[in-house]
Amino acid sequence: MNKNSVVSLVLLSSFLGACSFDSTDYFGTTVPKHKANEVWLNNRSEPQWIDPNKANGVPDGHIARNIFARLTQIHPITSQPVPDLAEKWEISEDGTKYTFYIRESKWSDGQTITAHDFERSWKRLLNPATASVYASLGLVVKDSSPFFNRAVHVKGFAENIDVDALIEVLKEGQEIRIDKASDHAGLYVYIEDNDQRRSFIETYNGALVNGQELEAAITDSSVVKAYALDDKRFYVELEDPVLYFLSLIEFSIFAPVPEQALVRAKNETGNEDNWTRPEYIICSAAHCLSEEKFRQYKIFIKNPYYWDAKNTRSDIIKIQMVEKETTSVNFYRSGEYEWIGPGELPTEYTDTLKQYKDYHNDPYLGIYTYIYNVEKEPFTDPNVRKALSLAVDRDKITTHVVTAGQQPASDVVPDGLTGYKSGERKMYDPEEARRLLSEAGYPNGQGFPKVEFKYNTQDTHRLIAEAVQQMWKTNLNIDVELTNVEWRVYLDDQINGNFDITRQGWIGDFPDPYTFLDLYMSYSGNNHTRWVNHKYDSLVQEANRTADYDVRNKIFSEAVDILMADAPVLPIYIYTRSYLKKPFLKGFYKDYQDHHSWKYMWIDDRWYNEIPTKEIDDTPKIGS
Amino acid sequence: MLKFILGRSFGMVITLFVIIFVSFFVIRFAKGSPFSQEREVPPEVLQDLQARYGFDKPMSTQFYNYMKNIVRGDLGLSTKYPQRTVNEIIAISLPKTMVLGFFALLWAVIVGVTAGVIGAVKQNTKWDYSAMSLAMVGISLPSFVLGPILILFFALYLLWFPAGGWGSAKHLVLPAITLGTIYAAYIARLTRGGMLEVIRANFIRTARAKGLKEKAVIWKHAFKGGILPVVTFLGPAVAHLMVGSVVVEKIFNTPGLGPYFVDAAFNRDYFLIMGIVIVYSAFLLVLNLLVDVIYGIIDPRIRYE
Amino acid sequence: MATPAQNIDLNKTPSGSTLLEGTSLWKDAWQRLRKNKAAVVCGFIVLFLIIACAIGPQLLDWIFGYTFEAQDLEYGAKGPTLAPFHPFGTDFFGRDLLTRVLVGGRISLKVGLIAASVAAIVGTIYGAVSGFFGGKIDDGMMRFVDVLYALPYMFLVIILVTIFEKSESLLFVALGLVGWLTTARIVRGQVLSLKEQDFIQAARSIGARSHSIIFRHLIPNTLGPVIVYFTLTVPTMILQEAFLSFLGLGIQPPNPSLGTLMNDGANQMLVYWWTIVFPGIFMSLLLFSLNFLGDGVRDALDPKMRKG
Repeated sequence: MNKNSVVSLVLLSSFLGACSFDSTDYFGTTVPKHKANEVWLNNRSEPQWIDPNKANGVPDGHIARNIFARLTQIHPITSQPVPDLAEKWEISEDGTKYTFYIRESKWSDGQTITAHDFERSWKRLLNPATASVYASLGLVVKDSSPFFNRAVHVKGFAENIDVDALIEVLKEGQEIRIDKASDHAGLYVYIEDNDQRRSFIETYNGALVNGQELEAAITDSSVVKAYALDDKRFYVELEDPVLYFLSLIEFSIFAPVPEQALVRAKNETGNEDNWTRPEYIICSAAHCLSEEKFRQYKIFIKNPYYWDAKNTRSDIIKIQMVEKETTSVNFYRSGEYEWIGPGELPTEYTDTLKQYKDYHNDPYLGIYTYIYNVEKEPFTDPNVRKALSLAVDRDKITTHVVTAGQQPASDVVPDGLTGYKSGERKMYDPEEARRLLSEAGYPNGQGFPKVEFKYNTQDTHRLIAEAVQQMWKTNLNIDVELTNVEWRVYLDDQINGNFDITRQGWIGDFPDPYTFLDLYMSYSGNNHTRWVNHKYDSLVQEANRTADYDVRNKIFSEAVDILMADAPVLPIYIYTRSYLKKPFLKGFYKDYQDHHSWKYMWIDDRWYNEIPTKEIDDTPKIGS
Repeated sequence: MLKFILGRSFGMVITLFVIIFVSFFVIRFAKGSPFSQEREVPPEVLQDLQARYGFDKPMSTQFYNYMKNIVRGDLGLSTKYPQRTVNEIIAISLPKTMVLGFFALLWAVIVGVTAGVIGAVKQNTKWDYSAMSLAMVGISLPSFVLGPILILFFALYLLWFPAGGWGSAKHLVLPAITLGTIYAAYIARLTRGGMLEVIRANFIRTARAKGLKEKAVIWKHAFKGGILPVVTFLGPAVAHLMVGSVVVEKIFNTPGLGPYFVDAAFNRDYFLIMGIVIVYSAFLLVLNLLVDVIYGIIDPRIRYE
Repeated sequence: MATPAQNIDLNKTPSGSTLLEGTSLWKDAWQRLRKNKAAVVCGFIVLFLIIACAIGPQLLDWIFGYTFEAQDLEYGAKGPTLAPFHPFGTDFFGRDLLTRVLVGGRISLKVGLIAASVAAIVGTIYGAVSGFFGGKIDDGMMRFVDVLYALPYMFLVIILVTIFEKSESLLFVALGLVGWLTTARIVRGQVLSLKEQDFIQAARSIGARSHSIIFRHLIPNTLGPVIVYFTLTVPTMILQEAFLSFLGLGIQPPNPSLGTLMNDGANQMLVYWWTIVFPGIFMSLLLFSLNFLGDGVRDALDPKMRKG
């Protein structure tokens, strides 16, 4: 290496040290790069689906939610569900029957949105052929399950016969789930295997059993208790009184889709899925897609037909797809967009970015946990699980590793959710941890088998894992090997139980403790801990059927006590969402689900000239 | 010549078939499904998803159908972007990557050949040493270090170029330099080596003896022969550049084909990864053939069997 | 993706005749290498870096109690200071960066050497066998090499990593997997010309078996180009490892390698500049000297290509 290169490296390092960040209050540019009627945002990734019924994942939802309206919307200040496409609703006394009155609103092609659009779309969502990943959230609707699961609908028999005897005949001594239909005579026979199902139908359709001539066919959508009473009224009946129903249906999958666009795309391209392309798309919310460049950007323009269009603040929304975290920070800094997009900031940057006024930090409805595979040695022993859990200093993680204000968690439900009070538990006790570990037969970590911690390849996960690995080593003298696996393998390994310890982040689907507690039910497909406790199952189910919040939360607490005493899961922290937002972007409100409606967003044009000193009125307007 | 090209083309088709065959089955061996989600995917939904892509059929049928479609030029449907065909994704991304690759190549050839010629002509002088040291630095500096440094300095500090993205010529400068520098370094070394070898050869001495000017000797005679190793190198290099770089396109958020090498494999987007493997392999094979043909044109001593 | 290095040095390999000059070749080469000042200096730098990587971490552990994994979260990432002694600064976890760079260098060197050896051994044997038997066997074996050449390297590595569990040995395999292709081609070319030479014909005529001809006579005579290519492969492999680690497919934490350190540094350079600068300088210096040394070795073994 010659002298010149040494000199240049020294220069480079001094440059890097000196100009790392600007010294002003703001991070990067403070003047919009575009006209005042535009808003530029980041979406992070190219969405998989913007079809609202099929949308899954954050990049999909961010777009779908803003171009397809639902019956309700979440008020940006109060966080309560308020009317959107439904003008008002009536709820039966037992809390299971809802009648929604659809307001006068139009699709972006000028056609009226009717209750029939809702019926069609909800049934499309629940149709297994639609293959919507989130469709199971719709199973709260009465009699949706046989349709969604393609159960065989057996009917045609008289009402007064011995139905139980008939069921026994149909079962043929096998373990088949058969439910009685709720309102009229009929049976739902759940058979998973296609061939078996087909032969079952062949056998029983038109067959004479116990003196009854049966009809057997795959359940059609007519049984689902969500339908239009007329053009303006949409009726929904629920299995149970679901307290959070009005918040739940704010989820993008419950938006109506424009039949006319689907038909046109199908006719012209042969593929119905093409309906969300700019040439075919018809929207129902404040903005609509007008132009797209795959994996670069999408441009949305104001939809004049939206019922509340007068309150839509910006004419054009441009979203970009910048995926890599550090790249997205660079783009933000040079003013390519005003908001860094849904998701997290690079963990290592937090401390530095905190110094700027661009940095914001909101509570977020999600929990970061480590889970043990309770079917694998040595984690079959609850003492081992508890020992490892007690050896993790969660305070240290949230003060030194993830520093965006995350709260260390001793509960799997965030505090304050519908009045739920998180339990106070001892989180860090290395003494007790060592005692428990030696009780389990591993004094001072001796003889502890080689175990592996699996996480999906991402920087934050790695940083936390490295810190926890070191805590286990120092406090318990055990070696845990870290393995990062790519996303698909990580998912596969969780589903198949191919792990010792792994991380699991869980984002609530709706603001209710149930969305977090459902995760540890013995029958839940998401319960990767494989922990089974029937007492817990029945408590959570009981609470979910209870209409009184106080009673309900008390039962939930009881269930959580059982869960935490057995420690199949190690809650680490409650998420926050930290993000960067340009100071001139207004109409951007805190949201615990990281949902931000474009229709409220606007550019404070004073920033084109100078940094304004006075605050400006920034209250959201809905309706009149 | 024609016979040679035809023969090689036949071999290429066979090679390509083997590659398709092996890749098709190997990618299916990899753990993980294209449809798994963080939340459980209901079995009914999974069935329909698999039926949509024909994954429910036996592997042999799937391969047969796939080959049938390939012959018709249909590379299938992406699982990650279900509204897009693989053909469409490649058609959107490949041109961008090729434009970037072209400018990277331009940078590499201009800088590399210049440095190499300087090194050879001014052999063992300060010029030679600094050119070759710089080339060595270029080889020793990975793109994931060079890229961020360029961004930091030229995009965020001097504000000369955008930090990434796509749209104008300005967007191309930093990624093209990042991508092309290592190639420039190799080309510089190869040019210098090739020229040195030729300069010592007999026909150059003859040319000099004939009284030709040094400049003419260098450019007309030495350069033509000295560039041969660069041509060999350029074949695969062009293939690499034209199908893109995972790292550079990720750092600069270029909407090209490069990131798919990793992303499509990670997403288990079976048809997309197959499509990319096919495009890449075909590129490489064709370019290698092209190199051999060009070789024959530049160097008349080479005869095709 | 394969870096260009694998495709270049074909033209620079010494011709067979040079190698047959006899045992004095190695002596000559050594003499020539010693005269090449740049190569000698770089050789010393490499030696110094190797020694530093070998004993440095132990020294730092004895004197200061630093290890590459023990964290000090309260201390966190701080720039270079002499008291406390952190000349390279500390990383996000408050770990001494000098220690991590040295340990990382150790791992990277190990990976580079082993992967290059795997490539050299597999390639030599494959190439020799292919060249020796010739005909249909040669055709088939070389076509296989063509197929592997045309496969995207990243694709191969990702498939390997996902089919098998990630481990250090898998990394060697993944890196060596592609490196051997060029060696195989070089050796095959050598063997093709060697096997027509008299001494091989002589060995054949006295009834020597194929494997003894390959291992006793052919391979030793191709060692020159193999060594040249080997020295040039080591830095390439180190770079490849860094590349894989950059994509999260390489060495697993808390173990550092130059690649993982650079990856962290590139991610954090906006906030902690030292995390990229020092590993960057270290790695560039290492690669730079290894490359120069490799050049020197090649020039020494192949006087035709000698500088000046």
